[in-house]
Amino acid sequence: MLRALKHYWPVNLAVVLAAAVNTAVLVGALLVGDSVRGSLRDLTLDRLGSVDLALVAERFFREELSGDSALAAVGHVTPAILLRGSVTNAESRNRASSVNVHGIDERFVDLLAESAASPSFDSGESPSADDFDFVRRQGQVFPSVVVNQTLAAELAAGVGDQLLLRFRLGSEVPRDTLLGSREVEDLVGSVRAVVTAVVADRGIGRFGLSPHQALPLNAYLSLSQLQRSLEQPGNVNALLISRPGSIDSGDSRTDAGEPPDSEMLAAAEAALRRSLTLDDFGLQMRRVAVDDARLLEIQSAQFVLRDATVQQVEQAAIAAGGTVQRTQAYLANQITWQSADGERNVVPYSMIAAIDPSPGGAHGDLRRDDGEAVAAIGDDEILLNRWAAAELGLDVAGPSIGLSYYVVGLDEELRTESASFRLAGIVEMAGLAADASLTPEYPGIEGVENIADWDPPFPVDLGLVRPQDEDYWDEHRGTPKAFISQAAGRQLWSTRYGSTTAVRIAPPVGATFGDFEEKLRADITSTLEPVRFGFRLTDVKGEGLAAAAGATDFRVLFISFSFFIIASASMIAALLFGLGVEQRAGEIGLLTAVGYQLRQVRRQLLAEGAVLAGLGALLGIAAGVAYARLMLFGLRTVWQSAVGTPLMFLHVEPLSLASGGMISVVVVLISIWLTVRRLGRVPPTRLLAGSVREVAAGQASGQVGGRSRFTMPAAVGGALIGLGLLAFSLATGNNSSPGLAFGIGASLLISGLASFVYWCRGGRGNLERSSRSASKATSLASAAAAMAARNTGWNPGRSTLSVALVACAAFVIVTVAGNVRDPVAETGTVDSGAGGYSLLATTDVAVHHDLNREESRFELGFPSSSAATLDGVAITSLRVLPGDDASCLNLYQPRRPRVVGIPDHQIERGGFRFAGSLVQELAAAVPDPPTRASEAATGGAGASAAVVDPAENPWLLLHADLGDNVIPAIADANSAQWILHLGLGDEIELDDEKGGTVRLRLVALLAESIFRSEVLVSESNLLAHFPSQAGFSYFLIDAPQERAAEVATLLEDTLSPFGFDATSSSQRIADFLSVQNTYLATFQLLGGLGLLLGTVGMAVVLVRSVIERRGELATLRAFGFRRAFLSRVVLTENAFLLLAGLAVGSLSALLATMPRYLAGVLPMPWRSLAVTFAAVLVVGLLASVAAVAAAARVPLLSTLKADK
Amino acid sequence: MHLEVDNLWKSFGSGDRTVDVLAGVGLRIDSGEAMAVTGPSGSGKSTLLHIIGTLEPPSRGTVRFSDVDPFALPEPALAAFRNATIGFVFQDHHLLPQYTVLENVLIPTMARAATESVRERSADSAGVDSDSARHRQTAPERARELLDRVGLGHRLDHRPAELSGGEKQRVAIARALINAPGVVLCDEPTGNLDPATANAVTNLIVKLHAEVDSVLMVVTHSMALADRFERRLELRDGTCSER
Repeated sequence: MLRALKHYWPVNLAVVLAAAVNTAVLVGALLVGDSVRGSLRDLTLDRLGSVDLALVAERFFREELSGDSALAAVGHVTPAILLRGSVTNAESRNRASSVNVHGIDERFVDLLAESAASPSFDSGESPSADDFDFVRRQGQVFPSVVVNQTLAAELAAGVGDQLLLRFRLGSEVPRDTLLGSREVEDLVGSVRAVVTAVVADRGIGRFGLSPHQALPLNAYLSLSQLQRSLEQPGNVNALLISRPGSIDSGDSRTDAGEPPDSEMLAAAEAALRRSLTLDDFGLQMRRVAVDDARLLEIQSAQFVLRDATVQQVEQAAIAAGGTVQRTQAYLANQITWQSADGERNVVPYSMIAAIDPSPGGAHGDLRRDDGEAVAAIGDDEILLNRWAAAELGLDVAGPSIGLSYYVVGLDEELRTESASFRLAGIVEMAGLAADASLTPEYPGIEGVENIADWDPPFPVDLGLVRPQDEDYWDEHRGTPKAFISQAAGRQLWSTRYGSTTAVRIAPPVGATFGDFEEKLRADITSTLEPVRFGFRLTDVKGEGLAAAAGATDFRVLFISFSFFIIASASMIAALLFGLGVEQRAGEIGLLTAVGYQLRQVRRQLLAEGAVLAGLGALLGIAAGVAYARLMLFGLRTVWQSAVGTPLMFLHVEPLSLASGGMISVVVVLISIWLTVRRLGRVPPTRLLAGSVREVAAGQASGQVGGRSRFTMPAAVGGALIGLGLLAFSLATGNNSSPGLAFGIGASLLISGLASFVYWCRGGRGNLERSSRSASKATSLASAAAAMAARNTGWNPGRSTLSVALVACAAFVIVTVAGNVRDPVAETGTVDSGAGGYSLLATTDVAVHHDLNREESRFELGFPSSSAATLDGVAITSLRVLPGDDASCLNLYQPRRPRVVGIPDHQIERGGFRFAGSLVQELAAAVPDPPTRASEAATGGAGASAAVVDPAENPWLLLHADLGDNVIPAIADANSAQWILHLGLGDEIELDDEKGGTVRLRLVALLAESIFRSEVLVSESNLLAHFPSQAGFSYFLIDAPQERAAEVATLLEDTLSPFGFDATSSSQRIADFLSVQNTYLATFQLLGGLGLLLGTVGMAVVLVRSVIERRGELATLRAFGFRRAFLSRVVLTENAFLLLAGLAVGSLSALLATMPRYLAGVLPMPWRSLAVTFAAVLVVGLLASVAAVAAAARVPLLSTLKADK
Repeated sequence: MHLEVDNLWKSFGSGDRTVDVLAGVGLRIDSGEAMAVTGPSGSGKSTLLHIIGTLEPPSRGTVRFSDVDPFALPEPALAAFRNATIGFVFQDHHLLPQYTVLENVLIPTMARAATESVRERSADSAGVDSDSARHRQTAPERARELLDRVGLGHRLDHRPAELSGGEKQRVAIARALINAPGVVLCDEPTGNLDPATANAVTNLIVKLHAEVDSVLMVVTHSMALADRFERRLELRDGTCSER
C-alpha cells in the first residue's frame, strides 16, 4: 500500500491537502466554539475572582452581618454596596450612564485584586491593591474615586479629574405610595470625587455580577464614603461570599460545566436565616399600651406590612399563645359632612383607623358615648371620635360622612379620591380611640410641633388647617379621628404592598411579657422568608460559569458558516481520489482479472483512502488551530459586532481536535467510498482498457430515455409551485414570511437543477446545426459550445453535482445577502419593529413621575422652554424587573431575563410587528374587550386608537388568564429562538417576590423589534408578582422624527440625575442588526470561500473529464482540431457549469426575495454580490486552466495507440 | 493530388542507442491509386502511416502532398491541412461515445469550422481547396449520404455503444471521407474484426476508394486485404520494397 501511495504521490498529495482543508475548517469551527465558551468562562472567573456567592438585597442592611458567625462558617464574607448610576466628568461634561458604582473597602480589594488572572489575560498589568487607596492626598478636597479604563475612556477622564457620581438613594418607603418621597433629591444621591486611579479592565476592574461579555463601566468609592452619601451609615446592600481559603490559595472553580454549588448555597441560605434580625427585615417590634393592657406591635419600615408577613407574624403569635389584631391607619385629606341646609363642614388632615374591634379583649375597646364597647363596624359605617363629631356638628348616628384622600395610581401620580360612610356612632376619646400609637411615625409629620410644620412627601394645603386642628395636634398628635372596618380600609387604601399598618399582639394570660416578647421575636424572625424581603442569595460563580456555555453555540454556527467549504473540500477529496483510481484503472482491472475479488480491491483502496484522510486530518488539525485563530482574530476585529468584546482568545480543547479530525476522516472516507463503490459497475474489460467509467443505460441507448422519469415533473412542478407562490406573495403583499420566501426559492432551485439534469441527459448540443452554420465566427463559437454542452451531458451525475454545489452556494449567498437588514426601514411605522416610537430610553434611577404631565415636568425641573420641544411628544413609561440581557448582544445564556411591564394603554394601542402568537388558543382566555377598553389608562402614544381584538392586536394576550402563577409574556422572536431557545407556549420560570415561582408563558413573538433584550408582561402582572418594582426606568418616546434628536437632548439633560439615556429606535435596532448582519457577513464570506473552493472542485471534475477523454481528444486532433479549439471547448464546458450553477442558484434566490425587494424592505447589495460572483467566475475559470492545460498536453500518438 | 515520400527516416532514442525505424523510405502515389503497406511487427508500417498522416514529424526526409510540405506549416495550419487533406481510419474506431453516429461522422467538419481562419490564411501556400462554406452547408447531407453508402443510413441517431464492431468501423470510414480528403490512411482497419466482417469492411474501403478518387494507403498484416490493392509496399528493417 505504501508503494502505491508513493507511486501515485501527486494525486495522493492533493487528496491529503483536500482532506486537510476539510479537517481544518471542521476543527477550526469547533475551536471557535470552544474559544467563545472558554473566553466567556475566563471572563466570568476574571470578573468574579474568588467570589462564589453573592447576597444582593433591594434594601440596605447591617454591614455587621458580614461578621456574623453563621455566615462566616460558610465562607469569607465581604460587605459592599453595589449600585447602578451615572457619572459626569465635571470638566468636559461627558456623561456615562449604566455605571456600576461600587462602595468597597480593603476587604473587597483583598477578595478581588489578588485573584489569579485567567491565562487568557496574561498580558498587561492587573489592578493592584495599591490602586484602591481611598485616603485623601494632601490638599485633596473631594473624596477619591477609582475608575476602570472603559469608564475613563467614556468620560475622557484621567487621574486628577473630578467626577460627579449619581445613584439611586435607598428608601424603606416605597416611592409609589402616599408616604414615599418622589422628590429628585430624595431619589438621587450624588457625590463629587477625584479620580485617583484608572485601573485596567481586568479582575477587580471588570467586577460585576451580571453575566455579560461587554466591558463594564465601573467606578469605585470607599465604602464609608458611599454610606455617607447614601445616608446609610453602617449599612450595605451586598455580601460577597467566597469559599474558605479561596482567597489565600487563589483557588477558583474553572470548570464551566460545573453546576452551581448547591451545598454551599444552601448552607449560606440557612446561615442567612439565622443571622437576619427583625430590623434587617425592616420590621420593628415595639411595646404599646392600651388602657392597662401591654401589647406588642409589629410595624414595617415601609409603613405597611405585606399580607404574607402579616400572616407569618399572626401565625407565630398565635402559636405562642398570643392574640392578634390588625390595624390600618391612613390620612384623610378631609372628613366632611354636609348638613341638610347645604352647609359643608370639614375637618382637614385626619388619621383614619381601619380596625376590627374585639370588645372585652386584650387589645382595648372603642366605646361609644354611652360607655358601650363597639362590637363591630359595618363596611359602610364610620365612627367619629367625640372631637371630630363636634367639629362637624354631629351628635347622632346616621348622617353620611365623606372622606377624601390621596391614592397613588399605576402611573405613580397622586390622585384624590373620596368615599362616603354612614355615621354609625361617636366614640369617646378613651381606650383604643385615644391611642395615638395607632398612627405610625410618618416621615415629615412625626415629631413636628405644628401641622404647619409638616413636611410630608405629598402636598398639604395648609390653608385648610384651623387653630383647633393645631390644638388637636398639640394634645392628641396623630390619634385617629375616625374608625372604619378593616375590610373598608383595605378596599380604599390597599396597595400591592399590603394594607395593614401594624399587627398588635397581646400575650397569653399569665405569660411574662419580656419572655413572650423575646420568644415572639425569635419565632417571627425564623418564619420570615429572606427572599420576600429582597434578600437574594445566588451562586454567582456557578451560574456565571453555567451561563458561559453561551446562548449561541458558535461551533454549530461556524460549522454552518463553513458548510460550503466543508462540502467543497469533501467533494474535491472524493474527486481527486477518483482521479487516482482512474489512473489506476488498468491496475484494478488486472487485479480483478487475475482473481482478486472486487471487495478486496475496494478494501485496499479504502485503506489507502483512510491513510490519506488520516494524514489530511493530522495536517488539518494543525491548520484548524490556525484557522480558528484567524476566525477569532476576525471576531475580535471586523466581526466584533457579533460578540461585542475584544476579549476572545483561542482555547484548544483536545476533544475538539480529536472529534474534528475524526468527523473529517469519516466525511472524506464516505466521499471516497462513494467513488470506490462505482467500480463494481465497471466491467473488468473496461478497467483493463484503463477506464473506470461505466456505461449508463441512457448513454448506451442513445435515446433520451436516459433521463429519470422524475426529472421533468420535478422541473415543471418546481417551477409551477415556485412561480405560484411568487404570484401569491406579490398578489397578497405578503413579503415578510420567511417560509414563503424559502418555499419560492427552494421550489425554483429544485426546478432549475431538475431542468439542468433533464437538459444534460437529453444529449443537448446540436452538432448538426453547428455544422450548418454559415457565419464563421458563429460557427466557431457554436461548434465549441455544442461540443462543450455535449461533453457536459456525458457525465450528468458529475456535472449535476458540480452545478448543484455552486447553485446551492449561490442560492444561500444571495438569500443571505437579501437578509442583510436596513435599520432605518425597521422603525418607520406603528407596525414596524419600533412600534412607531422614534426614541427609547432607560434610566439608572427609576423615575416616579408621568413625563407626559406638565406638573411632573415642572417638578422634575424641565425648563419652561421645553414645552415647545415636547409638544406632541408622548412618553410611555415602563417598569423593569432587572435581569440578564436576553438579546444577541449578550453571549452568555440568560439565566433570569430582564422583564418589562407593559401598561394597559400600550397593550390597547397595539402596534409593532408579530412573528406569531397563540391567539387562536388563547383568545377565549382574554377578558371581555369593552371592560379592558374602558380601563385603558390615559396618555401614551396612540392611546386613542385602542385595538381590542386579540386577532388584530396580539398584545391583548398579555391579559389572558393562564391560571395561578402563570402569566402571559411576549418576547422578540429572534431572542426567543436563538438566545432563550424558546418557542410559543414555552415558559420561563422566575422566583417571584412572594417566595414562590412564577412562569412566564410566551403567547406571542415580536418580529425584529426593539425589545430583544427583555421579556414583556403586563404591568399589572409584573406588579402582582414583583410588587417592589416601583418607578419607571424604560421609556418609549413617540416624537416627531424631525424633533427626535432635540427631544432626546432635552430629556437627557433635564433627567441627567436619573441617568436618562435616550437612543433612537433605529440605532437600537441597528445595534441588534449589526450582530445579525455580522453573522450574515461572516456566512457570506465563508460561503463565498466555499463557493470558490467549489469552483476548484469543478476544475478537478474537468481534469478528470479530460483524462477520461484523452483518447477522444487525441482522435479529434487527428482529424484536425487544434489544441486551442479543444482548450476552448474545455473552458466553455467549465464556464457553462459555473454559469449554470450561479444562474440557477442566484435566480432562484432573487425570485424568492423579489417580493421583499419590490416592497422596498430589502436593500439588495448588488455590488457585493456582483463582486462575489465575479470572483467565483474568475477563480473558476482560472482553476479550469489546469484542465485546459491537461487537454492541450494530451500526446497525440501515444494516446491513440494506448486507447486501442 | 499526389503523395510523395522521399528518403524518409525516423529514429528513436539518442546516441549509440538510436534505433532507425524508417531508413530512407521513398514512394509516390497518385490520386486514384491504392497502396497496401505490409511487413512484420516493428517494421515501421504504422510509423510511416503516422508520418504521412502528419501525426508525427520525420527525423529526416520529406513528405509532400502535391508539392506541399505539411511539416513546414505552423501547428494551426498543419491541423487545418490535416483536416482538409487526410482522412484516418484507425484499427480501433475511436468513435466518440457521447455523439450519435451522424454526429461522429460530422466531427471533422466541426474541425473545419474551428480551423477556418487558419486554413484560409494558409490555403494559398498549401494549394488546398478552401471551399469550406460549401462543405459546411452540405456536411449533414453528405454525412447522411456517406452513412447510406456504408449501410448505416438507418442508424443515424444511435450511439457507438449500440453498434457492432463492423458497424463502428464503417462509421469510422464514413468519418474519414466526410471532408473528401485527398489522402485516406487506414491503420489495420480490419484488425479487430472477424473474417466475415473484415471482408465486408475491406469491400467497402475498396468500393469507396474507387468512387472518391483519392490516394488510399492501408497498413495491414492481412495478406487478404493487401491483395485487394493494386500496389503493395513491404517494409522490413526500416526499408521498403514495392511488389
